[in-house]
Amino acid sequence: MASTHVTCDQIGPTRILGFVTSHFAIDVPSSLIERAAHGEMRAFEHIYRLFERPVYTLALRMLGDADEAQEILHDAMLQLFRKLGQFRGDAPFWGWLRQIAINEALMRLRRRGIVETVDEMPESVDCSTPSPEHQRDLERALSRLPPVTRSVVWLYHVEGYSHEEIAVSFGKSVSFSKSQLARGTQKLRALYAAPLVQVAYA
Amino acid sequence: MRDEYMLMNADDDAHELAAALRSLPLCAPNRSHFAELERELTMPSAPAAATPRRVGGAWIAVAATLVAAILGARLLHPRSLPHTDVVTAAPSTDTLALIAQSQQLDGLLATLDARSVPIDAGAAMACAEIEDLIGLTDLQLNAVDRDDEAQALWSRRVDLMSRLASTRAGNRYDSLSDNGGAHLQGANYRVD
Repeated sequence: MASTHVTCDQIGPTRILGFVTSHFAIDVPSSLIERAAHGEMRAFEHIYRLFERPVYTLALRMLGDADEAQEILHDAMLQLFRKLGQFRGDAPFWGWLRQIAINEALMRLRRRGIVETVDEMPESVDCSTPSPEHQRDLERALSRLPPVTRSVVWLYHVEGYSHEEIAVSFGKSVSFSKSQLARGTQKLRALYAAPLVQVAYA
Repeated sequence: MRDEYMLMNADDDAHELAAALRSLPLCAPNRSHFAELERELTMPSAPAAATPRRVGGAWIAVAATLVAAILGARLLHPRSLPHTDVVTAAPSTDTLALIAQSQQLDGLLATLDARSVPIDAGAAMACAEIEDLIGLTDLQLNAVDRDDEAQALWSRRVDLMSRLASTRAGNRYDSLSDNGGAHLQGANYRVD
């Protein structure tokens, strides 16, 4: 029997090649990057505008706080501008910027001192963008997850990170990533059971 | 067979959940803050803080208390400070040497930063704490006017920056890419 399912070890690459496309995945012309690297502010602004929402959304999903998400956007872009000259171009620019943003978000989580306290419940996140009812329900359910669990769920399902990459980012084991994902998925299912069916069969 | 069936169902559920999460709209800040960022980028940097550092709320409170205590003491006992202690001329040679050392370390850290490689979580936490302490030292440096006080603070800054540099340099890793697997993914959009 031809198996259509994949084992945990196979999920990463399959997801990456087959299904996962990050909001960050924007090809930026190298000429624009070079101009920004030479200090041309308008070129940098162009890059900023392209990635403003992906960076902000990622930070908001991970931290669950609009003010902190704004600060992460600021800090990540500041770092980006300072490091642009060192971008080697041997990997996608958007992935490089995304890693800067994720590092900033993880540092914030650590400064809060909540990486270990996975049961802490953050305040609800309201995205300013109007969205259908089922999406609001999912956002609400997502915001009720502990920040670390939510971050793992987001990095895995939305950004396409593998368990190995998540483990390295958090300085934890692969088992940590897998257990946080299982826990987060289970909680999300419990919080969002009915609307998920609507999404799946709509 | 049952295990296989359950695994398939679990996998389908995971795909449904992932699809639902990815269908969530992008969020945007209430207003764009690019103008502020641009101002910060085009502003000449302060000598004591080559890279702006955000200082945690607790450190700001500590710094504010220190500054208030110093100012308060001076207001209450204005004559207790000998006039000769106030430095109005250039800093001493020792202080200048520490400032030069601090600038060298700033350069070294900029080189390490430029490589943009992630560091492990423990090191990241240590770096964040050291950066906060450097931020606090910078705040204190802005509030002192005596050479001996400034010298002690510059010495502390050099020490903290050395620790930061060694923490960053010693905890680099090259595996798993800088890009979170981005090299494996295609782009959604192209900007021409």
